[in-house]
Amino acid sequence: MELLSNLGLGAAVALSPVNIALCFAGCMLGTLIGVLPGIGPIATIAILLPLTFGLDPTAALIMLAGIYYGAQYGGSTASILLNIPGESSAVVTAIDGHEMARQGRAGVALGISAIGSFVAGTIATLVIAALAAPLAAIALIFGPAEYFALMLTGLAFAVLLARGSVLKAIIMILVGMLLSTVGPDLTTGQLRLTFGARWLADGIEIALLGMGLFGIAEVFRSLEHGEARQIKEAPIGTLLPNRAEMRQSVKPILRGTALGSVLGILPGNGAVLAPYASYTLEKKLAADQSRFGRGAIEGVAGPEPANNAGAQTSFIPLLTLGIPPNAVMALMVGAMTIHGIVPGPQIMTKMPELFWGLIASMWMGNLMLLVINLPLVGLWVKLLKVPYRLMFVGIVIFCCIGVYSINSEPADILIMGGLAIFGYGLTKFGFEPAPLTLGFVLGRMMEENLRQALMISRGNAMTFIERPIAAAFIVVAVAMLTVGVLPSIRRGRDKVFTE
Amino acid sequence: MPATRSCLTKLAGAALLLTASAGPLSAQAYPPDRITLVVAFAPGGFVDTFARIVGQKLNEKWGKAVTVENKAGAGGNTAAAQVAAAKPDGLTLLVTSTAIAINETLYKKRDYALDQLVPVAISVSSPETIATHPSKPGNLKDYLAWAKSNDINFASAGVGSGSHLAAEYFLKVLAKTPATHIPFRGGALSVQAALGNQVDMVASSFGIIPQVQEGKLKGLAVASQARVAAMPDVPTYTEAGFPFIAESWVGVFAPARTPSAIVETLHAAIAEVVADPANRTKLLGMGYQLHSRSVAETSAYLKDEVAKWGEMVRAVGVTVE
Repeated sequence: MELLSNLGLGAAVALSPVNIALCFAGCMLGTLIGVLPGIGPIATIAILLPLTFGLDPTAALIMLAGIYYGAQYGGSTASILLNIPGESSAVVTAIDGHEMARQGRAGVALGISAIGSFVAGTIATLVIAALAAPLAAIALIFGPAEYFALMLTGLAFAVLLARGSVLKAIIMILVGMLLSTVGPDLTTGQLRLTFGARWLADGIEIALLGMGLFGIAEVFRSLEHGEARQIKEAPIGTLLPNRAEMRQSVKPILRGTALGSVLGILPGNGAVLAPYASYTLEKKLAADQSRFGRGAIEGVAGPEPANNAGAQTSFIPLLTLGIPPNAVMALMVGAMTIHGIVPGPQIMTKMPELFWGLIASMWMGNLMLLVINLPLVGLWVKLLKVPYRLMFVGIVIFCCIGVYSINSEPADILIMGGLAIFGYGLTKFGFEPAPLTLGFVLGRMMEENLRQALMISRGNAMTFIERPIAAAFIVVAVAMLTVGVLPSIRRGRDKVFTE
Repeated sequence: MPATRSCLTKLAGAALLLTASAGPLSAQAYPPDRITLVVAFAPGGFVDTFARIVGQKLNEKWGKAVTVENKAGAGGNTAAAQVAAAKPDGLTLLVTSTAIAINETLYKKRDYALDQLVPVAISVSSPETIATHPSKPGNLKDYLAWAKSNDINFASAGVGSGSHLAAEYFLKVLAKTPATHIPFRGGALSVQAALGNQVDMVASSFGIIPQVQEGKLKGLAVASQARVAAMPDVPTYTEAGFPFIAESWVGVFAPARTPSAIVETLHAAIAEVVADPANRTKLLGMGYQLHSRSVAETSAYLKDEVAKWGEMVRAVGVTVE
């Protein structure tokens, strides 16, 4: 009952005309910047922060939150249509989503990702409303040892994620992890693998990796084949998923939502794992695994809701503990600070209007996004008809603007260019960039958590086994690797032997 | 001729008056163009937020665009080097933290020298604080007694951060209770580790306050002259018998050769931002301490800070290339 009265209070706050308008503005803007390759929610929210000075704090947060989850919706559009994941979370969607677009099923992919995200958003809103406080308490049980074990499980996902050779996937993960070690060492502050270059001193930004390895490299790949191979030649197909496709997607959507909701709660940015976990799960559960990577709808219907649910539940550590789990949430802390709100455990009790208003606005925003996005599907699909010779210029320009906007560093654009050539080379040799990205994302967190865990345990590696949650994750990781990798290695060996 | 002469003298007098008031006059013409605030850290932290508050007010006041440019890198040195090399016209300013004082000793080499910059204002600070999980022993004295026999560890925002240096200096040099430093990437994650009782102690500044207010963490000591209004129950180090002051602050800097009139104008404008009643209440509520120092006092303060943090860096024994 308390939940209902709380949600009632939230709805009353969220449904004020000003808040509805701001929520809509945020969602619209989020969708737009999500679609534009390279320009992410971080830059947008940072730029808009001062504009919210005059607003009531709840209204300001409602709008900024709208930008964040709006960008999650829009981000899938760029990865599906153009194979440009702006953030690591959209890398997974690009795998099958872009393949679907190539086959003329862009509308279906976009539609299912919007519908799936809406379902996920709705469920995640309820999760936050009902369970925020107890979940936050559970999240605190996660220390460095647990995070390390979780990341290890994540890497096991990455191996299973591979379309082709497991060996190549492992190589890619290791390259990704290697790239993640560039920059200052956590415990000594010494620079590693920078070769004295100042522009490598702070490591490589994940957005550079996404835009270089995927976006620009995709432009190279398309150029190679000329206009003939372009998507516009494929039939546009139906704009929205049909009943059979919807039926196929129901379970992946629900499973993805569950995974995303759980991982999003972890203050150490567990949400990044959600789409990868969901993709692996769907692939494992599918009757015919070979469809994955070739335009399987579950490859979009699982990860997209996982991503959106994770984005939403990542508000839990912020609102209940005052701990921002990722860079966007850190900006939300900045936004609260500007309005004199100290993010911390007291928000829920001392500012119920803000807490519940924000939560209610999330559901409202998700509904708006569905309404914004479904009619836009037709428009986005038409976008594919733009001649590629014009489109790729646009892609390159936006990627450059986006990269420069992160840290105003011209060298970053060169790094992106280098990564693009590298990414093009990778696909030429049959290597997948997706496991590399996951290796990169997890590599740094894994290393840091490993070292912190060992420092806390005074060098005793048994800490990973003595702590039950960590031990459980390690068992899962080992089991997954055995189940998932061994058969394919054996198959690979058989193939080698038969040849 | 005398008429002309007197006329001339008058003119000369007027000219003299003009020159005398050249400071305020040219200051009125300032800023001629868009101002860029180069922030030494990524968006989201307090330094960034402060820069955006200041930027907004300067824009309202002068009607010129103010751009906030985040130039994180090398612990704040990248941004400092950029502003140090900028034209000294008051249109490119640096917003940074205590890091600029710490880095003088912490970093073996930098691409700028501190005297290439002039401090415009250092008006907001937050004392370094240590806190622990409520399940750990009581006040600072009991805690230290417990720590001595337990080989404790403490979390901070990272190697060479103000929180790390202040806490390790206190533990190692003042309290003679060495502890293992567990660096985290950012203050929030270190506070999280303490909330979950993963570490024995956390060193941080204002990030601890809401947790202490809600009883999720227990404040042990705060490194300021007087207690912090937002957490009045936490004693100062001095009260606990260890005279020790270490504060993390946000400072605005200009290239060294910026005309002093412009520096004064900027200084006054920033003082206005901090004195604004609404901002004041917000900042104090968050546990910040506000200071009104003149430009000269700010320079002297910076000098003291470089010396103080330098001593801590050397005592703790860390360096970064």
